[in-house]
Amino acid sequence: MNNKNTHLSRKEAEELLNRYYDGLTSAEEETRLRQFLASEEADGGMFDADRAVMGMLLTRRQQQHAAGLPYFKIAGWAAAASIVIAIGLWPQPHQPECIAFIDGKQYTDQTLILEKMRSTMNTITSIDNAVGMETQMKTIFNPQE
Amino acid sequence: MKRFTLITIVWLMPLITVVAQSGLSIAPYFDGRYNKSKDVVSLNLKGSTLHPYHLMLYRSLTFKKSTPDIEHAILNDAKLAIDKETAHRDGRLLYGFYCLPPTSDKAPLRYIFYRRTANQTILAYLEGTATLDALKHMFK
Repeated sequence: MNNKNTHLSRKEAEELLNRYYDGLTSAEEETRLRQFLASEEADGGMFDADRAVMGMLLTRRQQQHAAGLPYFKIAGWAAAASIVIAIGLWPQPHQPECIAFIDGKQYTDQTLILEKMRSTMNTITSIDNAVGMETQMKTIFNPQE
Repeated sequence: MKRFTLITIVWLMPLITVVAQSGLSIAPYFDGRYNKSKDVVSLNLKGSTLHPYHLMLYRSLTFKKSTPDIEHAILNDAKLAIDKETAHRDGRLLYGFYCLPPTSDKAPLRYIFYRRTANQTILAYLEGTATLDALKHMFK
């Protein structure tokens, strides 16, 4: 990284990130990396995980410096915590335990959805006599105890 | 290399949430494609809510008007069944209850329920520890 005072390209940022994870970057290089990750050029998903990891490490380092502990001593734990945080921050659809879409409208009322489930399963499993007269067939290959 | 490993882990974790029905022919019908459809009821439940029913996952689609051609997908998955109950009318599947084996030793049983009536067609996918007979009687 010779151009210390210029903006990082994506390729330069990738190289610098690899050095960062190896613990070889200087404070100045880390500052440039953080500036790059905060810029629009780092948008698009490719650097999201790096952004989360660096953010976590920086926070932990500041906390540990305040407490008088060396930075790299806690780097491993911080990296592990960063993974958890990054997973939590990763953009994905919100998936509550109960969710229903009825005629295109979303519902999350647990009581309503549970009642709908019971009603649906009742409809499925209520086999009337007429159906029973059809070519009903039960096949058991391996009975479940 | 450390960076690559870390990012790979972060990328792979969300995939864990979508493996529930992987490998089954009916899986694509539960990918959310009917969430905004009129005349379709999509129910998704998981977690402690289902514990009284000895279930871990419940998903169902109720088609009140036009029904996609899901019969072939069900019949394809039915080949895996270890227990089943079916009925046909006019050469078509009228209802089918299938119990599929777990995907691994510690995984739950999988169930596919299909029911076609004059007014609606229902496809349900469940995961849990109850037997097929127990499930059939549980909701009556």
